[in-house]
Order: sequence, then structure tokens, then C-alpha cells
Amino acid sequence: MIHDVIIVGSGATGIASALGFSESGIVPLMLDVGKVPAKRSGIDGNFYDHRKKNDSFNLMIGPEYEGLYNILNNTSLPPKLTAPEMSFVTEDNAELSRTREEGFTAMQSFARGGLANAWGAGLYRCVSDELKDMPLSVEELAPYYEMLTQEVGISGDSDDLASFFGSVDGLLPPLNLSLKAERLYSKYHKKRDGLNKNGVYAGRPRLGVLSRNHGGRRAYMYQNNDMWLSDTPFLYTPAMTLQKLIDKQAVNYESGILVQRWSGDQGEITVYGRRLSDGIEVEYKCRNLVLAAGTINSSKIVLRSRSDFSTELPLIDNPLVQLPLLFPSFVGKKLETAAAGMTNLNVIFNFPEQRLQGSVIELTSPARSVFYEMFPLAARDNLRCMKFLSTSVLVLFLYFESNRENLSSVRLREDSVLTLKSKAYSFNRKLISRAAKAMRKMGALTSSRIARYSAPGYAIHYAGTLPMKEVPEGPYECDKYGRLNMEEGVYISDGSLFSYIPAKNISFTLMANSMRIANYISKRIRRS
Amino acid sequence: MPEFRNEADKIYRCLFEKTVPDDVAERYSQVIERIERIYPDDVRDVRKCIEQCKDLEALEIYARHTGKLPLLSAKFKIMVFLAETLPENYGQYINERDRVFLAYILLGTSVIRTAFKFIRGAIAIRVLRQ
Repeated sequence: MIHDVIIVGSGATGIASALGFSESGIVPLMLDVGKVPAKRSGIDGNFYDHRKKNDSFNLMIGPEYEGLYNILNNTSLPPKLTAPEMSFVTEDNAELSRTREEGFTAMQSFARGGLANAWGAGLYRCVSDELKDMPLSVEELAPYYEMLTQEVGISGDSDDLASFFGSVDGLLPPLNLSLKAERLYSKYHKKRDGLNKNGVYAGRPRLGVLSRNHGGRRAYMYQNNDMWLSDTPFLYTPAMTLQKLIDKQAVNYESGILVQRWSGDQGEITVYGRRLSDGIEVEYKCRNLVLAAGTINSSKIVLRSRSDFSTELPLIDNPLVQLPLLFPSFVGKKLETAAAGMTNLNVIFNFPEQRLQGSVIELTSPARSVFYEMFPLAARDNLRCMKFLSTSVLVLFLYFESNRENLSSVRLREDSVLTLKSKAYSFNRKLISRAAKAMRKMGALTSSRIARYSAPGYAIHYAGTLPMKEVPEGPYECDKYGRLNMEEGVYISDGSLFSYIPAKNISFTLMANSMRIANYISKRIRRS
Repeated sequence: MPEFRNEADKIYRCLFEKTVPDDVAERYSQVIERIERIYPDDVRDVRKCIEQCKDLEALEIYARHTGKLPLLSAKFKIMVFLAETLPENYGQYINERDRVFLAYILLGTSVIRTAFKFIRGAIAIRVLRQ
């Protein structure tokens, strides 16, 4: 059987692609490894109420000691990825995609729904100046942004950030702020004119978290359990749309398949994969192949298909700095157990040199133990700090745009190991100081001296390996519809296409672009 | 695994001034060899320290700040995580009511206490080496 379309991967872009095809009545075959959560901890209430009455070992640490992953492996994964119920997101990564990391921490996922199972659900539109060097305009993406806004259910507000985050049409009301975030936001409003004059703007984030019931899913209940559970209806994941498409028979979903390469012959593409249950090689035939396996994996499939073991593809990511924000009047206050433990506010630092985006994150969701090692005191004293100081801290995730100085690379070796290379990112420390100064004006105690510089790859916003160009030239460039140069019917549909990432999470733009590409392929199929 | 039970108890006492609960001791015993594999050179020294040192907390803060015995600090961290999952320790981790004044006093004394522990730790490590 020859399929019209095969999509590889079920992450945010794979699902957006399938959604795009479903709009045109085309039913693609989706090939995916498709790991699913193995266990359910069974809590359905407030995380802290549960912990008061129950031994939470299975919920917080897990029988395989997943919660201790960072200590046992000397790494620093974000806390959500070490929650036991989230372990399926990175399960068997080392076996399924062998990598050698030289200064670059690569995060991949072979889960049904991809890495987005553990995302912070920040879904921001790009504005015109953020698509620089791309053969793509905001106007072209607009209809797809709108469809996705409906599908996902995005909370947000029409505030000072609207000019940076794009249209507010279709947004749900914003989530409630935590007490500290409320303090910060009210201080911002008091000093707004001065801050705006210096290019600093604050407002509510655009989150794929429901502030009211939407599309048959219930609204967020402020229970701090979303970090620990894999199936929270209020926090959108692509796996939700996938299930809907499967139910409507708008996609044929085949899991347990690891796609390795393709070969093409006169418009017919053969996709080669390995069935994981028995290790047998399998083949599928199609006329159009859409690679949406994530930047790193799609690049691997392309390099392997061409048996290219020497080319180094460029890899970009958002350099990230974490800046703790202390609120002295909250030291010793009781922990706000019913706050939204996620991004509460965004701050845009629109400096003349470059624009930075800050996400102000409330820290009520992780285990308190995460903060233990952040203090320099003796063990018992650190426990006290953890208890009394962690109630007074927010953290500002400060994203920088990608740039040539911080370029990393990907190369496939003959033994199928993917080498990811990067040198330590360089940061413009003056900009961090200015951002810290602005946060101090908003009432937070902070300094650029206590900033934590994240290692390359930590932001998990990978892109740039197979860039989209108006006129593609090299073999690893794509045209404006994602078609890989020198290939017939092979399309790239994920972050690989973006040769530049603005200082923001571009997942939403990647999804919209993926729908746009699916729309283009659908039109071609209909014409032929 | 009696030696790990003993080790778990010593670290737990350091942190909470109580005997280690059975569940925590068992979980600690199950995971501790995994962390020892990461720091094989430290295993013997750290086990000796835990067995012989009277003020393990002092030793740990000194070791942490001087970059010595990272295994010892890792064992403390593991215990902190394991202990948090018990409902009986909830109040040790979560501040359930406003205690602003007390918090500032405790944080102030913590700094002084840490300095004292650091000096004690420096002495303890010399004694252990002799």
C-alpha cells in the first residue's frame, strides 16, 4: 500500500501536521515510538493535602528512583522531567537514540505526544521582526495560529505584552497570580512609565492551560499536581489532539516503530524502521514524507538516509539564564499551596541591543528538596532555608535569542551515534545586569551575581539544522514549504527549519508552521 | 543490609535528630550503591567518616565547601529527598503558617551555626586522617 502521507513523530509539530491534513480530509499514517505513562499515582486533589496524609514515595521518587535522577546521574534536568510519572517522556532515550554530548545537553523524547508531555505550555505567537531571515510572514501563519488557539485553549490577556505576543483573539482569561507575582505586577504598574521608557514591559503569559472549561476539558484547579501527573486535562499536550484524531479516524497511528531512514525512487518513498517489539525491520511506502521527529531526531534521519557521516549541521537553542527573585516580606510566610506553580508573568526587556524574554515562575510545584542544595549552609540549616526562604522566591527564566556566537553542531557517526558539540554559551552580562535592575524596581531583591547560567541545550528549544530558505542551495536546506532540497516529496516540519530563534518559546510558531506545510502538501496532493 | 541501615540512621539523625524510619532506611539501602558507583574513589573514606565521625553535619559542610568527598554530600541529598516523602516530615519541609519573625531569627542563627560547623568539620577531617 502506498500512503499519500507519512508523518514521523507525534510531538507538537507532528500533531499540528496531522491536524492540518485532517482539515483537508487527508488521512496520514503516523509512525511513532509512542511511549506512554506506565503508572498512575492516583492523586486527584491538592499535591500538599495528599502529602500530609500519604506516603508520597511513589509519587515523588518512584520505585525506580526516578525522582533522584539528577543526583544519581550528576545532571540537572528540569524537575518536571524527573517526576516518576513523567519518566515515560525520556524512557529508553539512550537506547533509541545514542548520542555523544560534547558540551551540549540534548533532550529527546520518544513518548506519544513527545517532549510536550513535560512542557511549561508557553505558547507565544511570533511578531514580524522575530521571523527575520525566514521566508515566512506572520500573516501566513495567522490562520493556523487561530485554529491552534481554538484547539489548545490558551489563557492570556490583552496587556502591555500584546505587541510582543501578537493577536489576543480567542484567548481564555489569564490564570490567577500567586501572591508574590501579584506584588511584582502591582509594583510594575506603579512604575510602569519609567520601566517602559527603559524598554521593560510586563504582562500575563500565553499558556496552554485552561482558565475555564474548554473543548470538553476542565479548567485548572490550582492544586500544584500538574508537575507530577501525566494526564492533567487542563494542561494541553499534543497527545490530546492525537487521541481526538484517532477517534475521528483522521489519522492512522502506528506506535512501536522507530523510523531510521528513507529512500526515494521516482516519486515513491520507502520509509525504513524497526519494530521495537521484535526488532524486525519494517518498510512503509508513501508519496510524501513529513519528518516531525524533533530537530535532533529529524536531523539524524536525514543524515542517515544520505549515509553522510561527515557533515556537521548547525544547531541552535535559546541561551538561558535563571535569576532568583527574592521577596523579603515573604520570608517565613506560609507556603502558598494553591498557587499556579508555573509561569505567572512575562517580562520583555526590549533593549536596543536585543530583546530578551523573561518568564517569572512560581516555585510551588517541585519538591522542596530541590532547593536544599541551592543554599550554602550546613545540612540542618539548609533545611530551614528551604522551608522558610523558598516561600519568598520566584525565578526569572531569562531567554536570549539564538546567535552565531553560540552555534552548536550535530554530526552522525558511522556507528549511528549522534555527536552534539557546543562550547559554553557566551552571555552579554550587561544585559543581565540591566534586567536584574529592572526586576529590583519591581520590588524583587536580585542581582546578576546570583544568576545561574544554563548549559547549552538546557532550554530545549532546538532548531536550525535544516533551515528553510527562499531559494535553498545546499543539500541540507529546505524551501519555504519545508521540502528538503534535492529530494522529491520529503518535507521537514519541526524546529529544524528555523535558522533563528527569537528570545521566546517558539513551539506555537513551529506548530503553526507545521500546519501551514501540511496545507501546502494537501493542495499538491489534491492537484495531482 | 545492616551497614546501610546504620549509615541511614546517622545521616537522618543529623538532619532531623530522630531515628530513621524503617521505610526510609530500606529505600536508602536500595539506592545507595548506585550513587557509590559514581564516586568509587570516595566510597571507603565516606563510609569510614560516617562510621567514626561524631559530628557528621560539620564534616559534610566542610567537605562540600572544599570540594572534598562529594559522595558524602550526595548521600545527604538523597536522604533529604527520601525523607520529604513521609507525611510525618511534612512540617519539616513545608511552612504551614506565617512565622516571619521566627524565620529571620532562625536564618540569622543558621549562618552563625554554619560557620561554627565549618570550623568543627575542618578539625574533624584532620583527626580522621591521622
